[in-house]
Amino acid sequence: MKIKALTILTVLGFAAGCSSAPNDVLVGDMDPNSLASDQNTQHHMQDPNTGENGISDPNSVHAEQAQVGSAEVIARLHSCSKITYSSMGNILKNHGVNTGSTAQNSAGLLYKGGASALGVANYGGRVPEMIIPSTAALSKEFDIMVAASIEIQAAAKAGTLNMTACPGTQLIDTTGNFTMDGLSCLMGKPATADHLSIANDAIAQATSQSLTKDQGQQIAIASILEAAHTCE
Amino acid sequence: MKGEEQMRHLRWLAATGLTVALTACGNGGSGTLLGGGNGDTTGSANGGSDPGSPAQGGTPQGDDGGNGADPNANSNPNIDQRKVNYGEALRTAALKLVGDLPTLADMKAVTDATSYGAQIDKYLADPRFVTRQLQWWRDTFKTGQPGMKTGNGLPSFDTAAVFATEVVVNDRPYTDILTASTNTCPTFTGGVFTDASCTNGVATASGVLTDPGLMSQYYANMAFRRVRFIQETFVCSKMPAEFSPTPQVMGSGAYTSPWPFASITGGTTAKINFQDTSAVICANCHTTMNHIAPLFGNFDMNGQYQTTLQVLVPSTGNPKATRADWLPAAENYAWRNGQQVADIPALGKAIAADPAVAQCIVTREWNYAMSRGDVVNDTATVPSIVTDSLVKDFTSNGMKVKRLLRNIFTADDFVKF
Repeated sequence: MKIKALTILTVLGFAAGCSSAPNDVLVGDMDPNSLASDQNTQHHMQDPNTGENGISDPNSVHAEQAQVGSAEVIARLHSCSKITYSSMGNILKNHGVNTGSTAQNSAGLLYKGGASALGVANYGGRVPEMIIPSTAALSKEFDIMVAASIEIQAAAKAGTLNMTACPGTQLIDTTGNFTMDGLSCLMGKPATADHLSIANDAIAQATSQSLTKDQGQQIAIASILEAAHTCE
Repeated sequence: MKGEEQMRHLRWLAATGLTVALTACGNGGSGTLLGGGNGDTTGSANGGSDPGSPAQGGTPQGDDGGNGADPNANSNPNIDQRKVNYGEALRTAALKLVGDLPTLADMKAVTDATSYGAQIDKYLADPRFVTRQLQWWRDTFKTGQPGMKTGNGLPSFDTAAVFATEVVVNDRPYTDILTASTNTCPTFTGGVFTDASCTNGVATASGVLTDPGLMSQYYANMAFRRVRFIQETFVCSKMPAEFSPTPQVMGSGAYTSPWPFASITGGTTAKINFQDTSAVICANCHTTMNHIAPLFGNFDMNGQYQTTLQVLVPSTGNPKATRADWLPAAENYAWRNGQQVADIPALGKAIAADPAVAQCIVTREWNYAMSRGDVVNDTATVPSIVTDSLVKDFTSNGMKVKRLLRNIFTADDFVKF
């Protein structure tokens, strides 16, 4: 009897799992404030370097491009290529992150172990390094940035942060707020007053929600790194 | 015991059902929940404008020639809303040219077009540019020594990329990559190029076309993979490569090649009937391919040039190919219809003279700079109206890739976001 009941439950489980109804509900006219709305979620496009072995589906490409403009317009606009694996390593080192770390959940360990997810070349299979970032690559990149933010913040707080591309630059001042030059170094481009305001606001918001100032700084650093370096 | 077995069964069923349900939900959810393509990855969020930049061929040039030119491009909101942002441009240029972020001093030094251009020049002269170029050529050729096997007669898989990098860095003509007859197998160690000629038995080298690593990497039946590599790498398009202005209805489709249909091997006695039309029109591609492939047939699977044909025919017994497997006796080798060649060096010269080759490298570099996908793998084509002026400058100034890169990285389209 139990077997029958569980078998029925199992079949129902299969059926429920295969049904598209629950997902369909989430698509379309969503509340724009919902985390699941089209405006708020990462668009998980087809991973070009997975099932098709590096080949993008031309129909998907054309459908996406048609929403932007003609072939000429598309060609004249910057797109979004993945930061190469070696450049990612350079960025981390530049920000004083120990890429040789073997500590659990450290940015260095995630970086080293994440080479495949980050789309490194497989020349034996005639596959070059991934150009367009896959979902897996972006997820891994974000994981690394989060881990790096903890390391960067700790070093900045201790006064030992060595941003090699910006010698002598302080990321966080004596009041615990970010500096303009420090943010520029994190992003690799001149920071604006808005960048500074958003970063420092993240600290204020964190502390207003029972988080520590350190955690607020970490959140801000991770957010800035991820936003700045999602694309090359 | 029976009770234990039943329990194991129950647990297995429950676990399997739950796992499959979750897996299905997970896959479906992530695919559907996030909606359809919204153009995010094509840079729509960045916006952009290039109202007729002469540097980019943006000035309306009349008939678009069917190449995708958009008469309304100058009024596209994504184009119009772009603004010059040298800081943003410097960041992406630095990552592409030297594989690193700009320093704070670099950022502060860039205030206008002149100082930005000076910084691009600095990157092009930076030793890290060499390393970045090497990586670029490895990815373009889809081969490089890292991660590859060694020993057992295998060649270096890096010499082609190193040679191409050396040509670029030393400001040699781009076509040397296809035509150079000496020192085409250099090495790069400790930031230094060491010239060396390939030792794979070719009578006369012809750039990377005779590189042992490439020949080994693209070894396959009847040398067709080598031909495809050349087409997609240096012409930036897939086969078919040639089109007749007067296609003929044939078999299940249309014969679109300009070559005489019988210019390639076919018929019921041929090992491979390239004239078959029952499913697809094989000759649409193979009229071009079969006039090139035999030239590469003597390279064995290790990229060594032998005195006899080394590639196999995918028919019963996998015999070694003979010339007759590709072409009738009266046919000559050729790059394209009407462009006969006697050997690989002649083929290299014919390829180098093909206008499509200059267009191809400009397109590929443009896509690289603009963070676009590959022109072949990702169909990231670029209408010629966008690159015409770059191609003209490239071909009329010695085909120097560094000059081309400077032109692209300082172009209006590049510095606007």
